[in-house]
Amino acid sequence: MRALLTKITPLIIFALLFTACSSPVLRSSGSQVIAKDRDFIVLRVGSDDARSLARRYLRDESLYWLIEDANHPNPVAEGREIVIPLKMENPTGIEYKGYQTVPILCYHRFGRRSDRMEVTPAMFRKQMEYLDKNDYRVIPLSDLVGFLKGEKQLPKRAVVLTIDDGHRSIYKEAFPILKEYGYPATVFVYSDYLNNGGLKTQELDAMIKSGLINIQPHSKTHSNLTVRQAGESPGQYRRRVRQEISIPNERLVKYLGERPLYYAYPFGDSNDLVIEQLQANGLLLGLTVQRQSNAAFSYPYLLHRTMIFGDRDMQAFKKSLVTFKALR
Amino acid sequence: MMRPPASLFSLLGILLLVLGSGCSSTQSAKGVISGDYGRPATWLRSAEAREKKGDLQGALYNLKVARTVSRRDSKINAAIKRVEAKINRQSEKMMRQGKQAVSQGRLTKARRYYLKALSLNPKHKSALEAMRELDKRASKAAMKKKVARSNSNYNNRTKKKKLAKGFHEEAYIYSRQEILQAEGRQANLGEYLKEIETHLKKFPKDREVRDLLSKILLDQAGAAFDAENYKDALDYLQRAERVFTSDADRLDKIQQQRKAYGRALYLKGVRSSRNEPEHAIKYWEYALKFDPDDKKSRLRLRNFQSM
Repeated sequence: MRALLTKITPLIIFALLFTACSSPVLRSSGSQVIAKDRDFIVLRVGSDDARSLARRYLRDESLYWLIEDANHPNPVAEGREIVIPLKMENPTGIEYKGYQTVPILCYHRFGRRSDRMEVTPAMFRKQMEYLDKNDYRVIPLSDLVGFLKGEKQLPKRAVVLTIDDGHRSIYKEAFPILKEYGYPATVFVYSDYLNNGGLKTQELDAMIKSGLINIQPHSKTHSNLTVRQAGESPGQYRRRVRQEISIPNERLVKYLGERPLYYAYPFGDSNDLVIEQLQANGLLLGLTVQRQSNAAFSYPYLLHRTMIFGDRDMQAFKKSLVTFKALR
Repeated sequence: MMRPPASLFSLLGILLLVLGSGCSSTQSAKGVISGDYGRPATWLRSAEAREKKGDLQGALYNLKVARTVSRRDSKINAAIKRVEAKINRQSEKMMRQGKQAVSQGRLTKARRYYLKALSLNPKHKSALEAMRELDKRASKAAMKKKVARSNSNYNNRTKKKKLAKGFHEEAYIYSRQEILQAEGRQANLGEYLKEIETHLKKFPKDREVRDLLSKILLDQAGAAFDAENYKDALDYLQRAERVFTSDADRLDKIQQQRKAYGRALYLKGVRSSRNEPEHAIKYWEYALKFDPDDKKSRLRLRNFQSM
């Protein structure tokens, strides 16, 4: 009998371990998987948070919002049962009640004056704090490309930050605040201004290295691309448009080592010729300054942006954050 | 019977402890609330409610979670197929109606149909393409209008050599663009007027925005007057006078509007003087507020008060 028990004990141990670990109730880091297939995991949360669950089950911590959004308004908290979607079920953000829209905020300068074009650092911090405290998710502009193709789901309450022109106050005033909140932003620079009153190379370097700031073109001289200037012939106008798009592109390729993909029109003005040139230069998005948020079906070469003026209050800022449009 | 060795018991004891605490030893039972997520009936009920409401996308989602929870339930699979077929049928119908609306030039209606198709199936490629095409048309038309304004503003100011330098010019352009684009679409008139006045404080010579402000204030005064809201009508006119204090032409126009309202109120007073004398008095009093030089209203008021 003793010999028999000695022989079968390892087998019993193995069998018990195998049964426990392959049963429908899997346990990991305190969270229990109730059920799982190719579409979803239904799970009771242990000590995990959305980020650790995303890391484990979606293999990408940055997709934590997918879990939060799927369970909204219920929190992903210990003891709660939740659903983890394993596929992006709604890449266009269009649902029964309405559809998702993404506001792209457009800043210019930062400084002490509370002016139309100049936002004080204190106000900028207040605005970033508002985004943070109210569950807005600041996403890089690049995330919008997949959304506009109907291929990539975005977090609900997604917001994009952009800053035009390339003033040095971006580095001095806005960048430290962006770093503090870990918010990505796209800086659109007009190339004649770089190292010539505007941002300096080492400032650009520092911002790019942070991984938060992406530099993209905003023309060469910041001239209006839709207005024929005094004494300018149609041929000269076409040449100017071509140069205002291709030259900053080439400069940024030389400087950044990669082709720019997005273009902010000077003064937000564009026309068919300008869009044609953007496409010829391999640019994927064109950004205007027409106040509105963007849906998945927005035309990528006339994306809307909302200007943030320094002489407006927080109420106006809050109103610019339109992330959902009701259908019914 | 032979007793198993004590070491075997302790080994099994340890094993049970390990299993009891789960495959990973970090599990904590603290605060665990048992819910209904593991029961397919919960999801099926919710799916049914959503389907009834017309939210087929939501219904399908819940049915799929039910399938996750209860993989071998053939009824759930059948329900998924049924809802998917329903979504296909309805979204194709919406697509047909959308295309028809486009061919008839009814783009707002077409947009509604395509959006409905997408709300049924958010991955519907043709519906997304059709919506994008409509958005492209609308965005291009709006941009064309904006560019026309930029051109005329630029040309006017170039002729008069009034272009400002650098940042000032940029602030001027963006500020006025914001105002002109919102014309007729503003959700809050009070805020819009404040925005225009802020712009004019900084750029007082912007004729187009001055024209716009003048038009809005006089139109609002007119609307308030027609609604017999004389206090508001008067407020709008007084506000216009304050803004255009040094603009003789506009002040003259406001004055004419004041006189016209005064005259209209005088006549109203006359009409109601027999049956509703209290109303008549009010009308004449307001007539005098709009036009303090209105002799007829003053005389009528004096006569009425001395009776």
